[in-house]
Amino acid sequence: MTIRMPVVGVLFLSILMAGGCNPGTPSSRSNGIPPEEVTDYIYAVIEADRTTYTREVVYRLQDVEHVIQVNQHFKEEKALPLPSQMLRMGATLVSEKGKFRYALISPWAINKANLPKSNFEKKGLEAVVKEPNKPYKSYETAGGKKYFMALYPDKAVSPACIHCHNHHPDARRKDFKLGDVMGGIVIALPVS
Amino acid sequence: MYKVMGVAGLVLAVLGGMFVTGRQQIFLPAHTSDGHHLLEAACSSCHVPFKGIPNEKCIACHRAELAEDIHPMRMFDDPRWAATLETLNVLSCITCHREHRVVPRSLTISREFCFPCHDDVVVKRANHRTFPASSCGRAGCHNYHDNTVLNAAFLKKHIHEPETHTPHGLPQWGDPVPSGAQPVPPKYPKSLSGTPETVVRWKRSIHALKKVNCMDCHTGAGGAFYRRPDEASCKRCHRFEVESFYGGKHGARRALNLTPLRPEDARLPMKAAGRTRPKQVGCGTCHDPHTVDTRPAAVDACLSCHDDLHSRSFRGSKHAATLRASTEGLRHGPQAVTCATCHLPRMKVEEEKGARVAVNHNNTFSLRPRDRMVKMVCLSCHGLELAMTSIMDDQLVRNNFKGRPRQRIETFLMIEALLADERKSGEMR
Repeated sequence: MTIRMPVVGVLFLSILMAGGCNPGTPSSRSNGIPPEEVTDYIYAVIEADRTTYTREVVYRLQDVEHVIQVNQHFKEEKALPLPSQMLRMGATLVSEKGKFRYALISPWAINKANLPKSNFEKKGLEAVVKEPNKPYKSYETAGGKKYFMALYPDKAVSPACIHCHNHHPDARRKDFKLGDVMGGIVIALPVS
Repeated sequence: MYKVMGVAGLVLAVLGGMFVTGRQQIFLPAHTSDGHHLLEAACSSCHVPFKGIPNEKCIACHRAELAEDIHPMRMFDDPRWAATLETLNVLSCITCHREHRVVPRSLTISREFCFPCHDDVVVKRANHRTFPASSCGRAGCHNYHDNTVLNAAFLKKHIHEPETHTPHGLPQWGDPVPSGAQPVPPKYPKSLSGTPETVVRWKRSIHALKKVNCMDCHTGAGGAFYRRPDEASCKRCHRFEVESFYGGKHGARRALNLTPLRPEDARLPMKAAGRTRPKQVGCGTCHDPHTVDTRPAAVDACLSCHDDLHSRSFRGSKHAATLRASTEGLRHGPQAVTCATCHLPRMKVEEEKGARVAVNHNNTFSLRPRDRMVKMVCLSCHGLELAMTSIMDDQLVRNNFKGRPRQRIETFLMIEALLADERKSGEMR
């Protein structure tokens, strides 16, 4: 009896330690949703909102009904924001909550600020242009902080997209077709 | 030894006494910029002990100017900009603006700061190729925080407007007084005997017609009668006006709970002290608190202190001629151009009750960049080119726009060339 108790105790402690010390992936350690899936959910919402705005608001009201125009200076001109502005305004509101960030970038960005900046963005854009159905994901460090980053394709979902971009004087590419990948949406989740 | 210690102790005591009694100017290293000099007696206006100068201190006063910032900090607080921030930390105001140095608008950073991000301008804009990298902001064309006027689209749209519009398009402000309105009977404490002359003045005011009675302003803590209410009383109904007042030089000291601004604190020329010059600036200084007549507030109040050439030239200017022909009851008429028209511009504000046109009481809001006044005020009456060339002409500004601008601004030559190119190529920029 006195010999078995220590053995049972060691066994019990070993089981406890095995259950609590599995390093695994950050997601399994936290028992939450893996970041790879979280970014998929986020992208699904961004893509849906962006597509809806571009098709049902911009293309319909500007190009079909001829009721109102889009304009970069939409407040002064009493016009509609550009679809890219609509996405960026949403991204700003999200960033103010401090949970995660997202941005619209492109190798053919009209504004230099939206060209790919990091190796992740450059490689990610190359990857999604080549294989649009396969998002590019990895853990990255920027500014001393660690992030899970995912890059998804941003496609020409409406004639409004290609008409504007193919005729913009500062465009770096002017031969987009409907369905082409025009850039990417990069999502950055801070991880501890 | 003891003598030295005694003298040192005395000096420390004197310095410490000056520090705690709000006489901190003695500790100032070098000169403070215009505007900030009004706060230099209180180091804590900007400085937080052991924490430097956090952005919140700047934004507390400059929030209105940054409301439409085209380079908002939140844009750069993003892992995408991590590498750029190592070169230029735009997440901190003092990266670019350092005080206690004699430079215009405290812009202490190299003038070429735009170029690392915007070096593609020489490719995208052929007409910019010969411009030096340091000229982006120095030439008066671009402003890091506010570019709403000086962008190609706005300039192209407004370039060929006539010099003056008729009728003027100044937005009208203020709730209309109901027709046939009569002043309500005054209600004040019985301890104030007789019918003071102030009550007589109040009875003729718009407050009386709109049922704003004595105790609505003169109520202090606990409902007691407060003989001299300050702007906190006005703020109960005029929130935007008071908060904007706090954002300008007139009210910046009050925003930080310092004593009100006095004319002698100003660096601009002021009238000599005397019976007619106000002793300090508050709501009641410009608006007689009982007549609340905005007509003297819009001109006479300003000229009771300001004594620079621009101010002295106003009464003889074309703008002042509009006053003689325009009056409507207790307000200046819709065609009148006063000091307040330009320096306290009217703007649409959104409040809980809905949008209204209000007077922005921040007396510095429309001054910098100069094209902000063009957009907010001048374009209501004038074409863009006349307005811009006039306001950029320092001599014309000093004499209150007597005469014509001396030269055409190169910006408009560039825009005309751009329009000509577009007509040839059929492509809009």
